[in-house]
Amino acid sequence: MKFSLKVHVRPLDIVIFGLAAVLVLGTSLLVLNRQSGTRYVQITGESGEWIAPLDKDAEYEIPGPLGLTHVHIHDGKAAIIDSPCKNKLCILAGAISEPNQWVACLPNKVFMRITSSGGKDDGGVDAGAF
Amino acid sequence: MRFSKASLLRSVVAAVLLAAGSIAGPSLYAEELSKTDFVLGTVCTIRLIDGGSNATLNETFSRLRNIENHMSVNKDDSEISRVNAMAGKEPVHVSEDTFYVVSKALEYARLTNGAFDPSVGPLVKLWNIGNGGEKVPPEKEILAAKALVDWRQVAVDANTRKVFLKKPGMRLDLGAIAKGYAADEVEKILTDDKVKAAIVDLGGNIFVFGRKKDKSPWRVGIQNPESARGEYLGIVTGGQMTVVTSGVYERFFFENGKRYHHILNTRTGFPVDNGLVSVSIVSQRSIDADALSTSLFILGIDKGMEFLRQFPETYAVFIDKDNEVYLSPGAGKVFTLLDKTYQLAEQ
Repeated sequence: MKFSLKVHVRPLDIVIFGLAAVLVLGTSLLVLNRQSGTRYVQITGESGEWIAPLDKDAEYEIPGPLGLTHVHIHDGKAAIIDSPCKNKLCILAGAISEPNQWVACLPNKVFMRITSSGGKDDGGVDAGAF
Repeated sequence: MRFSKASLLRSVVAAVLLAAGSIAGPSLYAEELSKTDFVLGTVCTIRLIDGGSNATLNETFSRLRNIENHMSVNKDDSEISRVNAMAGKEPVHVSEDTFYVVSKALEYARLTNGAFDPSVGPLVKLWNIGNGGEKVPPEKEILAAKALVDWRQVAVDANTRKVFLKKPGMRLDLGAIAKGYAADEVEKILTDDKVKAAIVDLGGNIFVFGRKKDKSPWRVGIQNPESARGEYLGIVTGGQMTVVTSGVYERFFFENGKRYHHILNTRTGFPVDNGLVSVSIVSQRSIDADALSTSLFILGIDKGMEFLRQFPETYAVFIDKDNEVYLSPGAGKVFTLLDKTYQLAEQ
């Protein structure tokens, strides 16, 4: 028995493989970039939703039915530092930094959660019961 | 230049396969649909991991709002508020939802011999824990409130779907069971809408629905009672399930160095003080998990373990103040302890 393997490469083959290579490289970079696990603070209030990077120090005032809730992002952590609620549980909850951690000011209807662009960055937990 | 059709086809197929190979696989980074809102007196988030649409999310939150409107004690026009307002006067006709949850709560009251009691409302109102300005109420007021707590004085009529509190001043409070019911109702919508995988988080009551695209099991963290929220003592792993925890660390206040939490003992009128800091239940039905987490917390480890025997495929994780973790029979199959400062108790 005799086998023969002939490969005919034509110009259009090269063009199409080139395009495929670009596509592969592009999507790989996209995936790798997202795997870096950039963390964000997702803040939900009565009048909308805000998303801010956790690695950039900032302060935000989120309006609610009772007034303004002050969110402070510092050193990769986010905290509610002031809110016009009675019990101040949102302030006592302290700073959060891990994906899926959250703090809420129920009376002022402000909710803040840490999200991550990289799925592997959440400690391998889909949800937390408390 | 001349190209054969076969060569062109080969090239296109190869290019598509190459490109597909780079982006196929687990949808780890697929954009999910999610919605967060303040419902049922807490923060509720529903994440559609695989399947479903914005219409699904809107339908689920509309259902949650509907349940809140029927069962909240913080809304003057809810059915439960009307039942409470008519205590000692006349029965009140309620929706199927409310009737079912009240009946289920009374069933748990009977099974636990009153440890779980939906008529705990007067004590909950008196202590008012979690709403600011809390202090230990005067003993006289605790005694008066306690005298109004008795599940046997709640009458339900399945034919007329009416609920009646026999003594004036009695109050129903479904806070220990309504969120569980709500999660089960969300599950029905997710099933009807053919959602393949979703995470339902109703203020820390978790329902993981369906199966992830990568076929990996769900992993639900159990809150470390001593740490910031989101730090886990252990992990529950498995297929579709609900995980509900009752703990002393969510709503509480301190007075004279003593912690007073929101899980009340209807016999003493004070917060339960039996050495437990949390009880987590893993089950298939969230209404049962919700009622069981409170029931077992109040019953304590020994009675709670015994009580749980009648619920097949339902597991409990008890944590006490000495950092001992007690697992019900079979719970070791689904629970893994992660925090080395805790240890599994010998049983």
